[in-house]
Amino acid sequence: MKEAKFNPTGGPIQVSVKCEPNRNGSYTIFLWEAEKNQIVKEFSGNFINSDDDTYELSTPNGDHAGRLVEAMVVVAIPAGLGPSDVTLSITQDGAELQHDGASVPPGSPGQLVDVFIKLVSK
Amino acid sequence: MNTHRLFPVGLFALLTLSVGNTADAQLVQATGLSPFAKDYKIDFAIPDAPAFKLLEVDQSAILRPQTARDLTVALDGFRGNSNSFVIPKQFGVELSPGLLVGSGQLKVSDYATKKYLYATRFSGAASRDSLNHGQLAAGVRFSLVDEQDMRNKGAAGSDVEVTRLTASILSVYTAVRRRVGPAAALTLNEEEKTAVKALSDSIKQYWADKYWNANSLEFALGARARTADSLGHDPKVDETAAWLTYANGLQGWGQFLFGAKVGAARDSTGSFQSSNTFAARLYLGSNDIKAFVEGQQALASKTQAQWLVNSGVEARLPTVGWINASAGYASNPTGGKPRLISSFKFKTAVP
Repeated sequence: MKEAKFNPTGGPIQVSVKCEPNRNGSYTIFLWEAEKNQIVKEFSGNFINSDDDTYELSTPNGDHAGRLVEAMVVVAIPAGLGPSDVTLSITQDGAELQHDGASVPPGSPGQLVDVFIKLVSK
Repeated sequence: MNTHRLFPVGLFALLTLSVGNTADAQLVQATGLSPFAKDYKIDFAIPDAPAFKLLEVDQSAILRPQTARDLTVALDGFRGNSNSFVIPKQFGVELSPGLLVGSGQLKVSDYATKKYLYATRFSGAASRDSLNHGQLAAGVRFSLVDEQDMRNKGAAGSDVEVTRLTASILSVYTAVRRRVGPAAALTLNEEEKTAVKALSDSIKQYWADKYWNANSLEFALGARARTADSLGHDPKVDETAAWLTYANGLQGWGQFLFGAKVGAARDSTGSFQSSNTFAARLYLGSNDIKAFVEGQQALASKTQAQWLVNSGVEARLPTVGWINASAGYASNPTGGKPRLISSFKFKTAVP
């Protein structure tokens, strides 16, 4: 699992989901408590537009140490098009801390992409 | 060797081989959908293959474009001497070797990168006429443009219905995740797999309804040989043809086809004569059922009807295949009154 090392005294941590090129799809982002089966926060959305797919985590940042960010994304791509890259990104103060994702092939009537990134305090 | 006896045997062997490849197909995997292209086929109508067309199963010269399938089978000639239904006299098979041979393991990503290879299809057909002469035909067709397979209308994230269905699929997965927690594998139970498959099928049906009439352009070649008897002796080429057909979608309700057939065929004296025809056809309806009207005009042809008007219906029989029935009038190549023409075809494909 990839790790995103954040500055506990920096700006708010942001999580975002992208699908490039943009295709029809929906996603849920879970913020899991460290070492627990407990969901701290969740965000849901779709790709009808790509302007609102970035979410800010609560402060103080130190609370997020050890927590997992999970993106579950379902994308539908008709056959004959190119694949789309689904990416979960963690950013802070305008800099990308980490990203992970997968490519969804064409001809997928609802392909799941499921990725995790662990938040680690510097 | 009796080609008419062998043909159904070979057909059965091909079908058995192909079904064997796909018998254990499972759309829903433990953690998602199948990566294999065969699981995402959409049931569009099955058009005549070039070889089948050369058997003169109907008088229409237009060769309808369509997205490639692994293997399709067409049957015609169901009408006996007293207009009763009989065992069909004409059989045709069309296959994409790439899709058929590799269908079990072909990844959708591989398909996308070699789609022109997979969209090249070979066909063979056989029949016998009322004098017990055999006819054998072979053909090949290429998709130059296939927007049924370039289904980009509304694919750029803005389709509300597909987005809603992806949200429903996602809700199944997120429910599993809440149940098992972040550390465990995302394993769906049978009920959840069924739910995901049903929702995925809904997306496929939506795409079928939306893209059945997409634009396409196809080029095909074919040749037909007439044999001295039904055993296939002394074959002589008696027709060669090339087709170019363009299909244009009309909103969600129709499709306009314009095509040309250029070639040469033997006349009654045995000498080759040009056989060139332009044709247009209009489909109205939906993917599952549609009506059509068509007209065609021969140019410099001494072997075909000078004109033809025809109409009919095409209907999908879920999980079984497609039927196509038509009737119309065609001019008589030897002069005299126009003739009533009719056709009934059944076509099926590898599931």
